[in-house]
Amino acid sequence: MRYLDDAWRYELVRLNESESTWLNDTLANREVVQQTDNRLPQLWRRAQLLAPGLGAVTTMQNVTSTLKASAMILGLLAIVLGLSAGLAALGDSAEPVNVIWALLAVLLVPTLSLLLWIVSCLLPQAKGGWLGQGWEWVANRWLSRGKAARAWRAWLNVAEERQATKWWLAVVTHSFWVATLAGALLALLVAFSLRHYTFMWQTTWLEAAVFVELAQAISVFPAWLGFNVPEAQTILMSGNQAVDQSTIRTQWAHWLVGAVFAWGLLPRLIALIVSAYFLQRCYASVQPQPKDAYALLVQERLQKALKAISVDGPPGQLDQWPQAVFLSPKKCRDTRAAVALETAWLEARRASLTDAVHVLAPIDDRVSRQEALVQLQSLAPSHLLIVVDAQQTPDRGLLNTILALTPHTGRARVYLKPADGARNRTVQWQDKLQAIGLGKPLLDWPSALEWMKLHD
Amino acid sequence: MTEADAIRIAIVGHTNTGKTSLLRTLTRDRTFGKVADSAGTTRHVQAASVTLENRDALIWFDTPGLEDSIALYDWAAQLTAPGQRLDGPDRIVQFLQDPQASQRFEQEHRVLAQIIQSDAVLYVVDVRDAVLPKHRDELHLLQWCAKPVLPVLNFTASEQAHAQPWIETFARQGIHIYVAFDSVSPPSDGEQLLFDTLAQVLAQARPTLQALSQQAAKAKSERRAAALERIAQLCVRVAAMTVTVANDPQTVMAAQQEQQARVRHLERRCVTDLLALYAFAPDDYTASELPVTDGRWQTDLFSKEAITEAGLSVGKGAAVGAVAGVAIDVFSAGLTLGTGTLLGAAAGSIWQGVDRWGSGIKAKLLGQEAFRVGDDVLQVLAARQLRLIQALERRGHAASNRVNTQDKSGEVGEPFDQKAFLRIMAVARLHPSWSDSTSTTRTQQTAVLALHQCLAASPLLAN
Repeated sequence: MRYLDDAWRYELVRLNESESTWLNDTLANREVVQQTDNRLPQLWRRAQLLAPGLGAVTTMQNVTSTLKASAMILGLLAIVLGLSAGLAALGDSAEPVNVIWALLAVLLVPTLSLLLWIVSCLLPQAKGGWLGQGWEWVANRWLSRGKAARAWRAWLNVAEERQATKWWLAVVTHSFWVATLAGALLALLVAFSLRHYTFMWQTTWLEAAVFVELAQAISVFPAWLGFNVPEAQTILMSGNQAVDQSTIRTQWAHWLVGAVFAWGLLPRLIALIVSAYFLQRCYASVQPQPKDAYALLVQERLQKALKAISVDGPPGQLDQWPQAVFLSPKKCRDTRAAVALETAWLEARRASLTDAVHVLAPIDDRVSRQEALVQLQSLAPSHLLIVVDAQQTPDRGLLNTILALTPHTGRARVYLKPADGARNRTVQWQDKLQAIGLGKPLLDWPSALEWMKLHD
Repeated sequence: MTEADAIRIAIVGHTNTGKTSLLRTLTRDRTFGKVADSAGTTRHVQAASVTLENRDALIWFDTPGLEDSIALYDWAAQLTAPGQRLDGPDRIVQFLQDPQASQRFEQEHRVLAQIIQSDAVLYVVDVRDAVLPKHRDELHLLQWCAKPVLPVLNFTASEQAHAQPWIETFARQGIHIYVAFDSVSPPSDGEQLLFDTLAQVLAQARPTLQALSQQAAKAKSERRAAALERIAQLCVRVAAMTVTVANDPQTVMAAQQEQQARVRHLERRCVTDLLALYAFAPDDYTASELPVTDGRWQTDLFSKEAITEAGLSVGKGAAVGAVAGVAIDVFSAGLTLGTGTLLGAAAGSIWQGVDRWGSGIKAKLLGQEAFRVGDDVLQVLAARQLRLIQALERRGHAASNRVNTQDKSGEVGEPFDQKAFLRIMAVARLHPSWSDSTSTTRTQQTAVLALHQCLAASPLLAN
């Protein structure tokens, strides 16, 4: 049962978290990941840390004590049942005890149910005994309502998961019968000590030899265990009439006690021990790593607790843009110029521009930029059209280039070469151009041509 | 292994090429950093660690974008030192030590400082962009840092992707190993691919990178197994659902509606769980972005369209689309006239998706009817969840667009073995108690396991 509490507590926390929301686990997670890196111990340890917050300790205790109480009641019931069965089998001492009859009264039901249990164990869907199921049913009535309900469900789930349900029920069933048979044995011992019984067997048509063999067969096993057994002569003498002789009485009393012990109590005790062994083995084996969705999600939360997001310092200042500077109108000549940044698109459109417009080579690196600046310096145009691709992200390099161009022209506008939906960055361009004081970009080519024709 | 031993990888690139998006996908964290279609969204270096056995084994450093590499390259190229020939790293060190340059190129300074402290560089490019001189200058600067550079081709899944010019540019710089990794729809084994390729350029870190690759593969298969188990639980639970009510039209109608509501609720829970499992959350998306809103699919489970959407071909069975109405009508012939008319009318307008079940003798004697969820609805339910897994496995954590579950390009006939599926569902129907969320018997678990295996064989999930 080493891992019963761990598994039970985990299951309870799991039910809680998967049926409502995540518990406040930040601290617990951090502690867990520092202690171990194995998944199952991590999950168990986390549950252990979170359980008190759920009141889980109390509810688990409630379930345990309810189970114990019900087992106790069942046990008391069994002892009373056994005592009365034992006494009833012997009857009042006025009449001689029919030994076979008495033995059947005590052993028939327990033996039959034991055989049934053994047979059912061999079947694939063994349940573990009717009595155990009855006990589970009673426990269900008590526990399936109120605060303990979830803890009880968790307990059942763990039992089911560990394939322990069958053995739990078996242990309860066998314990019940052990108590009953012990009660019966006690009744026999007390009765034989305090009352005077005589013994016999009876038959109408069977031969005496049958009883001799039967009684001897039954006593083989008790004899091994050291019980006194009646001899063949004694058995023959007790046929149909009781012999009130002290040695014979004692032999029969020993025979009865031995039979109940060896054929009733002992097999049950063995069955109980076997079941208890299998039960503890169910819980003692370490389960494989849980791999269900819940376990993986918890794992992820634990991993997150490990990750401290670190940064190299405060975020950099947003870019502060200087306003574009223009050439004073006096220094401008009445010429027009156009230049494209990082696109060859303008070359293809040269035809649509009048000859008066100087089309500069596209700028895309330091050399071409230097060349363009030199040319602009000598042209000193009144209008400069700067063509950019709306697909391009307006980065610092492009804006710096634009800011380097404007001091050589009287005025400048940006024409945005249209781009299709997904990568259209017109809005970003509008914002950035606004920031450097260049006004709205031109978005269609005819209006760009129109702007180039303006005079003032 | 302490943090000091961790492999440090700087993720760099021109501004707005999706560096932070790449990291979101790599760390499966939708909330990492800031993402926007604009220059300079990331303004500091941000670290994200990958753990191996609880220790940081690798740290990704997301850096601000390079914006003015032309000017920076010029600045560094003009550096001279008396009586000394400057090589690349010398120039970078001089740049990093120059306070004026550091002010002028504040963002670039952070990036290069990070590269110098890193073991390798992932150079992210947007392959929809043309290769420009500024990009070549960026590559020159990276080469000067003297660190292994692994180019990552982002947005390769786009129609406008032109990877070849980029590959040629890298080759000119002597870089022949690269990774195509679309951060929006990454390859399903993307993480492994990246670790494996990194192991090629970072020989000394190979064992760790191989371990990370194996870890990623394991995590991926565990995730899928958990998701399939969750779907199997859902199907078994819904199939087991049986409602027995008195045989009068109004009660029957109300019971059916209640049953439908319960199924929808269970599906919503499952969708939320699957999203969580794949580190997505429904509330991060607006209605148009995912076919699921608030954990609910836009097409109602009990509508005829759901079948088409799920790509199912429910052949002869009792209920495909319009046939469903007829089926219910035939059934209702055995009912009282009132119920029959009502069901017939209902079938005309909405598809019930709930079958009248050949109920037990007891129910018959008591004048009761038993209802359960139809085969077709169960199949739609399973197919939709499978498609969700498929979509989520191929979805990067940088994605903000709508998942296209209607994409029939990978259409593969039946989404799963329908015969085997229905066989298991038939078993589940024999156990009404399984519809209870508290039920976890062995036989139920066996059914869930069998269904899990049936769904795992789905061609939808074949890589």
